[in-house]
Amino acid sequence: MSGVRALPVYNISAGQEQEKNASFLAKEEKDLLPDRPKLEIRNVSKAYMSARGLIHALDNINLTVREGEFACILGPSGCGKSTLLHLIADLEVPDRGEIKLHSSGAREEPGAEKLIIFQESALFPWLTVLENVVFGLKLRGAGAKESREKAMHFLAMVKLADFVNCYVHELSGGMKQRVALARALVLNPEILLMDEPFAALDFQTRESLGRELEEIWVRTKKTIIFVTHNVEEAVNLGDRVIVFSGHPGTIKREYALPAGRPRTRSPFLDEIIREIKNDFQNFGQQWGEATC
Amino acid sequence: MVKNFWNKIGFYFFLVVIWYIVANSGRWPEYILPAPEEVLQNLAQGLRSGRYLLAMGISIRRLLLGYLLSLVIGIPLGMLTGKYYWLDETIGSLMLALQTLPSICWLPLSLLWFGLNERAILFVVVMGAVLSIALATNSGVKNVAPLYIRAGKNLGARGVVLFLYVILPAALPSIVMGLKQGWSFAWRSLMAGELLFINLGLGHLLMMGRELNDMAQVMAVMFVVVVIGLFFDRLVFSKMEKNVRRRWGFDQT
Repeated sequence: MSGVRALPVYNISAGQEQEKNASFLAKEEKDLLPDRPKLEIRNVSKAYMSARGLIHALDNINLTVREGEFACILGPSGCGKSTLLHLIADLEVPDRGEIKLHSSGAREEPGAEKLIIFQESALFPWLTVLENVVFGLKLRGAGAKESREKAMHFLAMVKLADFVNCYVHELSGGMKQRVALARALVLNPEILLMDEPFAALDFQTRESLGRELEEIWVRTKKTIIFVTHNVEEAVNLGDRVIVFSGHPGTIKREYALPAGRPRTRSPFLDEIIREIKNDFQNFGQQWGEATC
Repeated sequence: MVKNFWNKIGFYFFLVVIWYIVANSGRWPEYILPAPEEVLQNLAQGLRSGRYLLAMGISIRRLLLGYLLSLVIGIPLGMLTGKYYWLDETIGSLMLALQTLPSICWLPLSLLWFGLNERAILFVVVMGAVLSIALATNSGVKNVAPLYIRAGKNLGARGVVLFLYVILPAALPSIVMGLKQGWSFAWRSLMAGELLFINLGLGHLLMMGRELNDMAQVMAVMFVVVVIGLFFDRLVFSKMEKNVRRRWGFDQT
C-alpha cells in the first residue's frame, strides 16, 4: 500500500488453522494469490452534492486487488463502498485518481470486463431466466445455439438448470441472485463486483449461497470484490478483508485470511471477527445503521 | 368460472325479459321504445342487406387507420419526451394541456383545415388517441427503475441498444395501458365525429335512425358499436395486458 496511513496488515500463513479439513482444497496459497495485480485503485476520491451539502463518499482510496483474489470490502451502510464498486464498474466517474484494470490479454470470446451483481435482483422481469442469462451474449452478437449452451452450463453451475423457462417473479430471492451470478459468469468477466448480493436474503439462504459462491470461485478462478456490511460474511468468504469507515469513506484496516478452502469457522476466525467488531466501536461507527 | 358464466347469462336474459314486458305493455310508442324482437329483426335485416356491414367496414377502416397513425406518432413522441428532459418540459407540457381537451373539440378546426372529407375524421381520431398513447409511453420510459438501466449498461448495452432492449421493454406495462386507452379514445372520437359530420359509417346510420324516427335501427346500431368495442378490447388489448401482467408477475398477491 502506498499509503498516507499506516495500515496494520495481519498476515496469517495458510494451514496454521485449517489444514486437511477441506474436501475441495483446489488451490494452494501460491495459486490463489499469484501476486499479479488485477485491479489498481490509486488516490480515488468521489464527492456528491446532496440536499445537506457536499458529501465525501470516498477520500483518497488506494487498493490493489490481485488476480484471482476474493477481496471483501467491509463497512457500515453509507460508507461509500457501493460508490467504489460503481466507480470500478464505470457506472460513475471518480473526481480524482484512477482505476486501472489489467486485462488478461486479447479475448477471443465475447465478454465483459467488470460485471456487477446488485443487492436487489436486477434481473429483467420481461425475460425468462434463460433469456436473462443470454442477454449479454446476444448484445455481443453471439449465436443463439452457442449462447444457449453457455448459459445452460452456468445455470447448471448455480443449480438452476430446471428453472430456465421461469419468469423472474416465480423465483425466490436466493434463486434470483444465483441467476444474476450466472448472467455475470456467462460473460467471463475479468472481475466480478458484488454489491451486498446476499443482504436481502434470510440467514440460511445467505449461508448456503456464500458456500456456493466460494465453490464457484474456486472453480472459475475469478477475481471477486465482494462488498458487505456483515462481518461474519466478509471473514467467511474473503482472502482479504478491507475494512472501510465512513464520512469520508476511507480504508481503515486490512486483514489477510488463511487460504484454505472451503473455509470453516475456527477460534482464529472468531477472534478476527471480534476484533473487527471492536474496531468499529472504536471508529465510533453506528454499526449496521444506515447513515443517510 | 362456470358459475360466473351462468350468472351473466341469467342477468342478460332477465334484462331482455323486462325489456320485452315493458315494450309490449303499450305504454310507450314504438319510436320511443321498440321491443327486443324488432331490434333483432332490424339488425338481421341490416346485416343481410349489407347496409350495416358496409358501415362497419367504413368505420373500422377509419378506426384502424387513425389508430395506426396514432401509434406511429404517439410512441416515438412519448419515447423522445420521456428520454430528453427539455423535450418533456416543452412538448410534454403541451401534450398534457391538450389531453384535457375532448377530442371532438378538434372537429371544427379539422373541418376548416381539411374540409368535409375523410381526412377531417381521421384527424379527430388521431387527436383522440395519440396523446394518451404518447403520455403513457412517456411516463413508462421515465419511470423505468434506475436499477434496470444500471444493470443493462453494466452488461454492455449503450445508447439505442439500451433503449430498445432495456428501457422500452421495462416501460411496456405502462405502454400497453396507453395503447388500450388510446384505442378506446379513438373509437369514441370516431363515433362522435361520425355523428356530427355525416359521412357514411356507423355514426351516420345512428343519425339516419334518428331522422327516420326508427328507434329499432338506433338500438341495433348501438348494439353493433358495443360489440365492435368489446371485440377489440377482449381479443386484442385485454389479452396483451394479461400477457404482460403474467410475465411481470403483477397478478400475484
